[in-house]
Amino acid sequence: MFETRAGKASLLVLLGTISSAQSQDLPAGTIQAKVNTACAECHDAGIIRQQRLSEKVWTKELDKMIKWGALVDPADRTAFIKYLSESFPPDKPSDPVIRVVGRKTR
Amino acid sequence: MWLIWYAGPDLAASKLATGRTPQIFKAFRLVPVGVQEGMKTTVIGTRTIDPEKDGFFRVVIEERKKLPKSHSHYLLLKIIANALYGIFAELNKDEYGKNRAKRLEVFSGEHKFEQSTVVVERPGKFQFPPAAALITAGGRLMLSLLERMIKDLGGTYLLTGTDSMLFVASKEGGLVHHPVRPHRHRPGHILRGLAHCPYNGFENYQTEASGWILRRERRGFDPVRDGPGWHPGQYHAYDYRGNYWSGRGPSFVGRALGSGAAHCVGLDHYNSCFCSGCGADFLHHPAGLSCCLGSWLLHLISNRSAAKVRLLDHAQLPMMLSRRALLRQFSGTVLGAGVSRPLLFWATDTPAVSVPGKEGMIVRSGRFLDLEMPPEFLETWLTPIGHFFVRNHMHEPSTLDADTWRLSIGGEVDRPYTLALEDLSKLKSHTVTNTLECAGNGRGFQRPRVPGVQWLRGAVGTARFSGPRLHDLLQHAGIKTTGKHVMFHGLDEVPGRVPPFIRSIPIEKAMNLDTLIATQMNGAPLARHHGFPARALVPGWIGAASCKWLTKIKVLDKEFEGNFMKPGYRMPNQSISPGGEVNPDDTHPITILAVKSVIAQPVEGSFLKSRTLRIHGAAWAGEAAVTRVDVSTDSGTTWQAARLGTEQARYAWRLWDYIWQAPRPGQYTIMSRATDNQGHIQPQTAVWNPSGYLYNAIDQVEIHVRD
Repeated sequence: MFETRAGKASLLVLLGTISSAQSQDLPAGTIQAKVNTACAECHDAGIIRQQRLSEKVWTKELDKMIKWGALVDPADRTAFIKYLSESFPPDKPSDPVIRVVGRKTR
Repeated sequence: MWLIWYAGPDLAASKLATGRTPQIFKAFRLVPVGVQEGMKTTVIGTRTIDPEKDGFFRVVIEERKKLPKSHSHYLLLKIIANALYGIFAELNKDEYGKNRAKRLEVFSGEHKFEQSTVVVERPGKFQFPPAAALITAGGRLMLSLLERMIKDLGGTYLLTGTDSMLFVASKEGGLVHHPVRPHRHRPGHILRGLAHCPYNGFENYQTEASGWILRRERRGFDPVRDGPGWHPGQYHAYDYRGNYWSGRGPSFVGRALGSGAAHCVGLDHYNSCFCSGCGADFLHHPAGLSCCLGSWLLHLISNRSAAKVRLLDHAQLPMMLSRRALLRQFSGTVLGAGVSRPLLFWATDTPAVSVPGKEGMIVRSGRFLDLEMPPEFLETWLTPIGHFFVRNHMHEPSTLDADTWRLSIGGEVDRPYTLALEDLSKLKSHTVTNTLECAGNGRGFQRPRVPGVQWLRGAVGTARFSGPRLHDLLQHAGIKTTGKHVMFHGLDEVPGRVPPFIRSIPIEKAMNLDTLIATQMNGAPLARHHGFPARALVPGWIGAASCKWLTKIKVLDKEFEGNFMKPGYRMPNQSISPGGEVNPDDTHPITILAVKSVIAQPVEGSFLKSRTLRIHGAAWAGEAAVTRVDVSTDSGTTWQAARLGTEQARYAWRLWDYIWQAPRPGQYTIMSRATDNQGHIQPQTAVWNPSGYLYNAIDQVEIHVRD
C-alpha cells in the first residue's frame, strides 16, 4: 500500500518543527520530562499546577497515583516528590485562571 | 524546538527490534470527539461514498482491487489512498540556487546538527505530524514484526518500504555473498539468507498472528516458479507501477532503488521474496485499527528539560472524532471539505482550550474535563447549560449511542430487567429543579491547602432535571427486604488502575419521589458533558451522588465499598485540627449539601466607578430551604438582610440581591451569609477536612470603589 516514495515522505515528517510558548507546562527541572510523562497519561499539566501542597501531602498524592497506575520508576520517586513540592508549595501564589476560548454563550 | 513524533506501536517496534524500551519524555493521546461537519458525498468509480457511513479508504482500496493493474484508474486510486495519510505528511520542496544555500538545523533522535542545503522542504497546508505518526506507526510496527521474524528464522533483509520488506533467501539458506550495495550493506557484505521457500517458516507466524498480519507477494524472482532462466550477475526488479526491470551490475540496482520505486529486486543466484503489510486490511482490522488510531502519540523532544508542546486532548481537539469516524474525517479532507481548524491549531502559541458550548468557563482541568462557572455568569435562577459546571473524575465515554444504550436494574430485586432509552422515555416523567453542587466546590479556599480540583465558587448550578422516578424503576423490579442501598455505575472510562467511579445511596433516598433518572436538563436532552443519555439526579445531595452516563442500577444489601465511597467523599466524625490526619474508619459518607451563599457580583478584586452597587448572588441549603441571606459591607461588623428572589423550588437555590451605597471611595470587604429553615447558618470558617469537602464559609470579596 504505502510505497517507498511515501515512506520517504513519512521519514521527512520527523523533521517537523514546532515552537510554543506554553504557560501550562510543568516548570523546568531535571525530572520534569518524567513527571510530565507519568502524569500526562490522565492529566493535563493544569491540574498539577493548581495544587499548593506540602511535601507530606505531595508524597501521599504521588503514592496514590502510583497505586492507580502512574508509571514512576521507584528510583525516581524521591526526585518526583522533591520536584512537585518545590515547584508547587503551599505559599506560592495561584496561577491566573484559564478560560474556555470563545465568547460567552447563553 | 525540534520534535520527532512517534506513536504507541513504535514502542513495541523498538522493543522487538532492539530489545530496549525507548525513554518517553512526553506522551499524550489524541481523543477523537464528534464528527466533522460539512462533509459531502462523492463518487469513486461506481460507488457513492457517504462520509458519514462509509469508510472512504476501504472503498478506494476495494475499487482499486476490481481493476486490472493496467487500468488508468488503478494508479489514480492508489494515489488517492496514499493521499489519505500523505496529506498529513506533506512536504514541499523549495530549491535555491547553489549560491543561496540555507542553513538548516537537522534533528535526529537526540542528535542535532546544522548544515547547508539548497533544498528546503516546507510543511504542506494540512501537515499534522501527530496524525501522520499514528498512521505510519502501524506500518513501522509491522516492519519490526517482519524484521524480527526474519531474524529469528536466521535471515536478514535488504530494504524496506513503509510497510513492506525485501528479504534474502537462497536455496539452502545460510550465508550468502552479497555482490552489490542495495541498501546499507557494503559491497562484499555477507548476508544471512533464509532457506529457500521461507514461507514455510512464515506459516507458523501467520497462524500465531491470526493470519492477517502478513501478505505474501510473490513478485520476486523465484527460480522454482520462474525456472532457471537467469544468469549470474543479473538483477531483476519491479517498480511501483508493476514494471519489470532487468539489468546487470551494481549501477542497475542503485538506479532501481534510487527511483524510490523498487518493490522487489531479485539477485543473482538467490532470490528475494517480498512481504508487505495488508494495506487496507490493516487499517480495517480491529487490532490494526485500534493499535494505530487508539494509540498513544509520543514525541521526543531535543531539549528534555523544556518540553514546550501543549498537550492535545479532547478539549483542544473537539473535532477529532471517534475511532470509527477518523477515516471519515480523512475522507472529508481529501474530498476537499477542508480540515477542521482545531486540527491545525496544534502548533499555535496560545494555550487555547476549546470546548464547544462552554465558552468562557474556567478550565480547572482540561483532562479530565473540569469546568467551573465564573461568578459573574450567575445571573439567572436556572443556569443555562453553557454555564453549567462540568466535573469528570475520568475520561468521558468515547462512544455514546442512544440506540444501543441500555440501563440494567438488578441486584437485590425480584425481577431484574433492562431498559432501552426508548423504554425510559415512555415512563412517566417528573421534573425537579435542583441545585447541583460538587462536594469540592470552594476547595480552593481551604487553608491549609488540600489536594484536588481547586474550585472556588462556581462548581454549582441550578437546572430543571426531568425523567422517570428511580422509585418507579425500582418498584417495577421489586426490591427484596435485603435491599438497603442503590448503586449507580456509568460509562466513565477508567484510566490505568484507577478504581471505577461507582457510588451508592441509601434505599430511603433512592425511593424518595424526587430522586430521578434524568434524561433531560432544562427541557433538552442531557448534553454529553452532563451525562447523556441518562444520569441519576439525587436532589439536595452532593453532585457525586448523581452519577452520569448511567448504565447500571444495582440494589445492594450494604453501602457500596469502593474508592469513591471510601475513602472518597467522606467527612470525619470528629472535628480535627486543620492539617490533621483522619482515620478513614472514623468518617461518614457525605450526602446533603451544606447551607451556603456565594457572591456573584461584584467579583473579587474589582474596581468600581459607581458608588451605588448591586451586590447579588445565590444561596442554597441542600434539602433545606434558605430563609434569609445577610450581607455585610464592613468586613462582618454589621449585617443587613438581602432581598430574596421570587423564584424558588424545593432543592433549588434562591437568588438574592442587596443595593448598597458606598459611603466613600476606598476598599471594602463584602460578605454574604445564608440561613436555612433548619436553623443552620453559614459559618465564619468551614469545617476543615483533608479533601476540602463541603466548604461553606461565609463568602467574601474585596472591592475598590473609586472616586
